[in-house]
Amino acid sequence: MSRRRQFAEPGEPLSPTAFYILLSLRSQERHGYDILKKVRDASAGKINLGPGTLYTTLKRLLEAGVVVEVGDRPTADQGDPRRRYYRLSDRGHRDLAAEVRRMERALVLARAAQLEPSA
Amino acid sequence: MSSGRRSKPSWLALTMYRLLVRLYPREFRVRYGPDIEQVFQDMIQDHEIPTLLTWLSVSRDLPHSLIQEHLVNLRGRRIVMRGIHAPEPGSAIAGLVVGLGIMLFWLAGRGFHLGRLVEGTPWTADVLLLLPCALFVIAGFIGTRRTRNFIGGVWAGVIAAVVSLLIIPGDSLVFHRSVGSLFAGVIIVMTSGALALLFSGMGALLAGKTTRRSAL
Repeated sequence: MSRRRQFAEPGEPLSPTAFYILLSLRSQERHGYDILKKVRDASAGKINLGPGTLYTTLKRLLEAGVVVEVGDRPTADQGDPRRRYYRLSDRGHRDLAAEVRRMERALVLARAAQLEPSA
Repeated sequence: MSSGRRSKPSWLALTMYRLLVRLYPREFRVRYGPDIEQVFQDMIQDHEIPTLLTWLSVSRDLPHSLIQEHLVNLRGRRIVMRGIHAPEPGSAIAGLVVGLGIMLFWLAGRGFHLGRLVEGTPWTADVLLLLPCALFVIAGFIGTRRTRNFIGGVWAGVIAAVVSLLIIPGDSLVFHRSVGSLFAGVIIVMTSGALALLFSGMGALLAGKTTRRSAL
């Protein structure tokens, strides 16, 4: 599946990078570097995004309407007004939930097949 | 700024990175360039990330994202890469028409003894080579416009090359009554294939650019 088609239909499987970016934006709006740190922490250091990959992925997510840019930038006491902030759209919440359900189903299948993660 | 940040950003690193960011396509750079630079600046100022790790991350990240964004840019807004599958009818028809055109041109040339001119005047040989190349560009252009697909344009060029290569056995049978040298045939096939890919690709890119411009 090509990257551009990845978000063609709601609920299609997400790439790990897209999944962790959506996960980082689930609870609150964030700017680029905040997303990058959150992704690294949430993936236990497995996904170390660089600035280029972060913004090429954000661009795709914005084009697909999964993520939206926050129009009103926060004031100095709420955040950094120089930066662009992003948040999940309604579709983004739905896509993230669908991805989690897909993972859960995969886990159920794997357990039914008695597959255990290696130590 | 938090206490975990370096007091002085690395001016050299930032300057180098700004130069590298200029390699992104213009549209992407204008929209996201300042944000990308800001994130890089945050990374090199953050004590929690070792400098070496930052550069390792960037060295992996830049080539990947640069290629990806340039590919997206080349495909244009409405020209979508769908992968290398069987040619669509639009590209097949364009390729057939162009290939038959090249073949007819060759046969007409043989009929009017253009071969003698080729031996006597080198520029005529150039013309005979340039014409199929120009037709490959046209095949790529038409194939892309008809299929709205870059690969569709390249397919048109390849089909045009395959059809026009029927000249080789045809020429031998009609004019020489012999199969000819296998080696020469292989060289001609490879050259024609390479020319078809190169020039139909150029035509496809041209179609992508003009389609994008009209979409804007």
